Amino acid sequence: MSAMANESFKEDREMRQEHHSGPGKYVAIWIALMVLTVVTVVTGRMHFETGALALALVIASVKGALVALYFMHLAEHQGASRIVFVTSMLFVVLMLLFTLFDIGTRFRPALPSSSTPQEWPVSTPGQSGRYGGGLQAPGTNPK
Amino acid sequence: MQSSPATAGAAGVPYRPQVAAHFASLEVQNHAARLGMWLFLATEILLFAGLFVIYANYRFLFPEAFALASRELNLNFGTFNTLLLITSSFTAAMAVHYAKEAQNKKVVGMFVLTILMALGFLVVKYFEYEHKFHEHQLPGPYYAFPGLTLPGASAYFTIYFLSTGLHAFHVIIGMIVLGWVTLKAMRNEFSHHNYTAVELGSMYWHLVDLVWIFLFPMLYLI
Repeated sequence: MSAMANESFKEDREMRQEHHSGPGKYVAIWIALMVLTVVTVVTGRMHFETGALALALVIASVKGALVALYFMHLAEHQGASRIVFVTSMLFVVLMLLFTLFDIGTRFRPALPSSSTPQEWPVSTPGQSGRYGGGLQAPGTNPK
Repeated sequence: MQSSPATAGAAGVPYRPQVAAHFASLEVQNHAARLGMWLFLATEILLFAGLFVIYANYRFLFPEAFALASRELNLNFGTFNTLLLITSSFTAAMAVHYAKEAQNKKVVGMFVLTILMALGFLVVKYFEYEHKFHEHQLPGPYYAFPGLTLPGASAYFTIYFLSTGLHAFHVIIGMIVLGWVTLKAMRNEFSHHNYTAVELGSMYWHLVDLVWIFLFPMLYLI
């Protein structure tokens, strides 16, 4: 028996200890998902001034986690499947954040002229300062 | 080694899948199949992530246009479709449960319900698209909706059609996959020895649901 098959026997033993979720749990998750959908629609319609996007993302993430953990059985399956899922999610977040950092910290003329970008939490004049290259366009940076 | 040959079609003999020589048992083989499915689903997640990134950046650049354009969508249709897809995901999960208990008739029933709900989703989507075409709320240069002329509105509808279109394409693929698994269930193939096809097929369907769970608030609820 090769080393690979030995490893495989170890997997086999570990998998016998797993237990499977029944219809009761599926019904509970289904109801939770329906309720969360209604919650996200109701709160979305209120158009909150602040935190609307964060709330929508949190509700969607909770729903997504319920689907992945219970409908897709990540909660009861050990090992590599979880790593694959978590890694893919990590890279989605990295890709989102780093492109947003780029767009959000560019100086204004590098963005489409018709755009009206949201206020970034920190002000990024971009044209003066240590790494700004000493650019002093008139009217863009009152300093 | 449990390497009993596959005996599909033989009357009275329960179907047992073959175990390849490099697996210690059928369970390990199923585990490997499941891991392969997760790797595939990870590539699917990253495929949709590209569209999420485009969405996030353009929404950052054109916040007012995106908010106003999203009000042009029919929230009732969107909410109905979300509830429909979540329920279809639930029936797909129940199919896995019944497959483990070798209740093939119930597996067929659950998957038929799932496929019908998928069809309902596409019909609602069709009416939404038809309305968008009628109003000329179309991608890029084809955008000609007089009610909203802010810059960025056409970008919103480009992203709307790209992401919901790619999602609808996945719905169609999911229906084909689940239809094929339903045919296998009609031949009484599934039991606790053999439910990998049901499990992986419904995992694909849950991914379709998972993507829509994020698309819905992104597009309809700005």
